[in-house]
Amino acid sequence: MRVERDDDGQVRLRNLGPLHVDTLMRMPEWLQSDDPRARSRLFPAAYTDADDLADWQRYAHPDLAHLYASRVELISTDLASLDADEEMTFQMIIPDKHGAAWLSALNGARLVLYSLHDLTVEDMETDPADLDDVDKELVLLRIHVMAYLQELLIEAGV
Amino acid sequence: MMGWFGSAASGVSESTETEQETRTRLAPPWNVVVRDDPVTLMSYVTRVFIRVFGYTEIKAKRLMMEVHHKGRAIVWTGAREEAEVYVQKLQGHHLLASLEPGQE
Repeated sequence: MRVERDDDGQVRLRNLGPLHVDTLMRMPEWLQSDDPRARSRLFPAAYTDADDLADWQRYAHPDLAHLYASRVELISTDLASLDADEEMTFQMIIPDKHGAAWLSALNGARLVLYSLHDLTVEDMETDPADLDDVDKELVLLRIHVMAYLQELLIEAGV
Repeated sequence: MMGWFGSAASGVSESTETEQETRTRLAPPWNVVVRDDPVTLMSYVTRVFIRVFGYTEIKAKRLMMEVHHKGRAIVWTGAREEAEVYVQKLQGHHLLASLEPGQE
């Protein structure tokens, strides 16, 4: 996987392999998860006081939900640009103004996977190849793939 | 009650002082707190602090390291309404942000 920045600011992801593409394509589904574990991480408590928290949920959560839905729509649009590149891998374009949304969407998707699969701090520090659980290994690989892309985007000045 | 009536009867200055004192008590500062999580990248947290607060990279990194090493950091203190806006922005970037009363 490689990230190139054009003169006009748009970002081109190149040499995307099958796991990269499959992971990116699944992001909208993860970000829209209704699972309570995912919901509680995407909408964390802002107050410890029950009344303040209830007010917060009433007023802030609809705005956050709207933001997340807009973000899913935006990344889905960019994912539609996925195309084979000359090296028989895939490439896609992220417009300059979509960069921040992609960084946050990648973070959200990583958090959702972590929550849905009840992962632990120890899991995050384990080499996926050392795990006996194949499903967990794949989930960790996806989380690390998205982290790597986040790092590449930040290094590229997104 | 006696104080209020007394102030109104005896002059403006006492009344003004009481009102100012009351305003101060009604608006204590609030802290915006960010807690650590094992998933979110340190470079991403730094970037979010720069974007949301306009902090310098040095200040953003210092706060990020405080979150990482101490498990939490107060990243902003001020009026409650503004603190709520910041918390909403931070949560929008998926940081574990919350509010707590600050010290008066």
